[in-house]
Amino acid sequence: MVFTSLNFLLFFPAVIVLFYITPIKYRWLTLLIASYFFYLNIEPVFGLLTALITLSTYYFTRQIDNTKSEDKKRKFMYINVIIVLLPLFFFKYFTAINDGVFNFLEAYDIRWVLPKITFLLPVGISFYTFMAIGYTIDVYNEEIEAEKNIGIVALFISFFPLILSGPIERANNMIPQFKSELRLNPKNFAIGLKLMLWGYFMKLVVADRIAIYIDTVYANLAQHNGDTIIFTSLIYPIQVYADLGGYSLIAIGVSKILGLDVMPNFNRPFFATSMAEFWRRWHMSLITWLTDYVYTPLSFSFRKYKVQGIVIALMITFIISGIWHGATINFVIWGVLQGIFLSIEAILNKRRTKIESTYKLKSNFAYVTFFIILTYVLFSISQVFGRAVTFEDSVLVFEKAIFERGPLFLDKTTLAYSLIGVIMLLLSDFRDEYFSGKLLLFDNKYFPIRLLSYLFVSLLILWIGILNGGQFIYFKF
Amino acid sequence: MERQDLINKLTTIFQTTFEDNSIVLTDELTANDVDNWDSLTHMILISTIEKEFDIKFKLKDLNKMKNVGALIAIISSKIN
Amino acid sequence: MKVFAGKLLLFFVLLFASDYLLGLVVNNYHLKSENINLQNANYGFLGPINEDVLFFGASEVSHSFVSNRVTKQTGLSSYNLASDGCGIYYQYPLLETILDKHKPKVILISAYQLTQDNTDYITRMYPYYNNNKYVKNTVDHIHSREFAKLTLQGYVYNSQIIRIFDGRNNNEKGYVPLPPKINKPKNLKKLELQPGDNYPISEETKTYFVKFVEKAVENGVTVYVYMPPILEKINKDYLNKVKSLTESTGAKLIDFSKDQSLLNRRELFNDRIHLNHEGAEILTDKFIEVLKKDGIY
Repeated sequence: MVFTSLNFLLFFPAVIVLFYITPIKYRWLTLLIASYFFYLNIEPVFGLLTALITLSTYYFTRQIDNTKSEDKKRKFMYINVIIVLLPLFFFKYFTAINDGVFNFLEAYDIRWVLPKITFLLPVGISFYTFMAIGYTIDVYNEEIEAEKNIGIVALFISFFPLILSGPIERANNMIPQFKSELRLNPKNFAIGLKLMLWGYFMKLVVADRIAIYIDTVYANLAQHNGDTIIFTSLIYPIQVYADLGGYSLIAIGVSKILGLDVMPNFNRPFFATSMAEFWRRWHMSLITWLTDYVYTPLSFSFRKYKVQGIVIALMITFIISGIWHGATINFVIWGVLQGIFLSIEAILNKRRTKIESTYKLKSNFAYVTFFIILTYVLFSISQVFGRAVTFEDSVLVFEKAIFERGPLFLDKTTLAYSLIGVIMLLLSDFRDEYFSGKLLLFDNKYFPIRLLSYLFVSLLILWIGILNGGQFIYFKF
Repeated sequence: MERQDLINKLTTIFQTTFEDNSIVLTDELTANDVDNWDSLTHMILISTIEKEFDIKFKLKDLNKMKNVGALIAIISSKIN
Repeated sequence: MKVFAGKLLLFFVLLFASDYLLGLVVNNYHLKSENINLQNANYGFLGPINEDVLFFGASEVSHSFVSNRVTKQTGLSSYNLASDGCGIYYQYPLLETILDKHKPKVILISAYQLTQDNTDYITRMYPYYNNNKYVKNTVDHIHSREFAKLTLQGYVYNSQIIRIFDGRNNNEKGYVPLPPKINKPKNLKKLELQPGDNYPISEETKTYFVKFVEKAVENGVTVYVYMPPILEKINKDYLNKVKSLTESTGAKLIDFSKDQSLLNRRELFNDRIHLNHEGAEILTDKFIEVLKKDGIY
């Protein structure tokens, strides 16, 4: 059951009630049962996988703490990381690699032993796998003690708000909270519900609406002209932001109601003035995870090579980020592009900050606006590889964008509804970025204004949010 | 090595790495307080410190360097 | 906590109230909408329909049968009830609603309906759900949880507001003429037929289709099952299924899928599935000939 399903809207209140009637000492257990119920409802078989990863992680983290030998500790860490990565690797990449080998050998008329198989990807596996790995490495690095209660470890890995799409949390943030006295209180309810409301708005009114339009164009690239394709590619980042950002807010809001503080995942990314800053604001839980567990160890190992070492570390980190998103050549290219952008910025950084401070450019409206737009456009260009399914499609996109002009394909319904949603979203972020604390609506000090804001957003969700599959853009070819 | 000598040597390294002669080291100083000190330049800093003090850091040590005070403590323990 | 619960309750009460009021306003405009699909749905489900020759289907019908032309040449009143994208789960309750009050002489139903395998279009019937038992039955059968969501007017009219105001003035008795396209996609210029998709027909779809035809036949209506002329080769398997379904129900099959006098003339088509106005007039004439041969007029 995804957050936007009727089932979840029945499940969550039930969990709250159960939570409330459980004695505080056992509330973590209620959450554990609820989390497994949640996951088994989506993927019965893969609940087993989650349990196995939990068992392995519990065993090896305890071993790391109980062993004195530095070598043995490192060995246990690596073993668990490999065990936990195996299912991810298998489900996500086996098909791609197997198909690749199959096709390669076919060109030479050799028959590969394994047939082409497709596996259904266990939902959430990319997320909770990373959480388990992070926890293992943290125990090894002595950031946190191995948790003795296996139920708490199981809860950390399977916690239902986070298990589907993150944010990718850390053991040293979540485990102490799970072990503390969890209480319900009105303040947390209010904050959590507000986050959920805005999250649903972002997902249902903005993301899903734009998605219909973008899907229509990208499914028929050959029929659309370059101008339409450019426009579509330029608004795709907004769809992803509203989708993952909205979903994350719901996850954070749900957790907040249960008395748990989960890290934010997005921080108004479109106001970044450089790709480096962008990646400090976009999908933050993933980036900090990659920074702490991939980039830092790599750049540390390569530190002898100075700038070249940093570039290599960046490239490897972002290629890993790319293939984490998807097992295709397109995502590898996506990762490489991010690595290139960031490497160039890293090399030019000293010069840039010097010029910026000499001419006080950071407070220059034109300068900031230019770089906000540049950063956004660069990201949109890289996102073509995230959206187009095949490499050929990506090439087609750029070909048409450069050479083919024509009238913009855009239907009234999409335009009207998404304009409302996008403007509201961007204005809200704009206000938070530059006028923080002013012109508040959800957080206004007057209750009637807050109430009106909640009603307005809720009505928008009901009336123009994508609540069922009955939407399609009718385009006659 | 005396603590003050260590701090002087470290100050020179900071000033050179971040190209800013006005940097003054305090125990509470962190990356947020210094222009250009980010995860990219941090490794260059670490590498330079290792060379100048003839020591070797472990990855575990990195996580414990929350501020300059902690950094000094770790360097001290490695020299002695 | 009590204060908070009170505020939450107030919020929900106001939400339902404002949603309901908004629904009343939108419903009013919905009934007056000049959007052709909404007009046809309104006319069909709210009526009263009294035309003798009725056309049922999706866009492959709405652009293909000129109701006024039928009336002019046969003297029989006619209406084209087709609605874009709507499949058999829309057509069947529509038929039941109409037959309650009127028995038309002739009904044409497109067999292309059978290829529609997703059920998303039933949202088109939501505005009639609360007042029409046939719509309610079908919706509840296809999507069992909808009744709860349909208490919210926003859900009933979800995303319809723009469409309600997006329409044209002239309704040619339900028929929507497509002006001939000047710049057609390249592959239409080729004369070979494209290989068609394989059309599996779900059991549920089959059941509803048979129910549709049987219900019309038992009410004394002459039913024509229509295979449209399309520039995709319809596979034999699908065609045979349609044939056997038609024969088992007492309806007549009119198959234009191999009619070369239409298929060879690319200027009659705007794309692989839709005839333009020129093509529609020719097709309507052919249908009128069938009516004459069968002694309908």
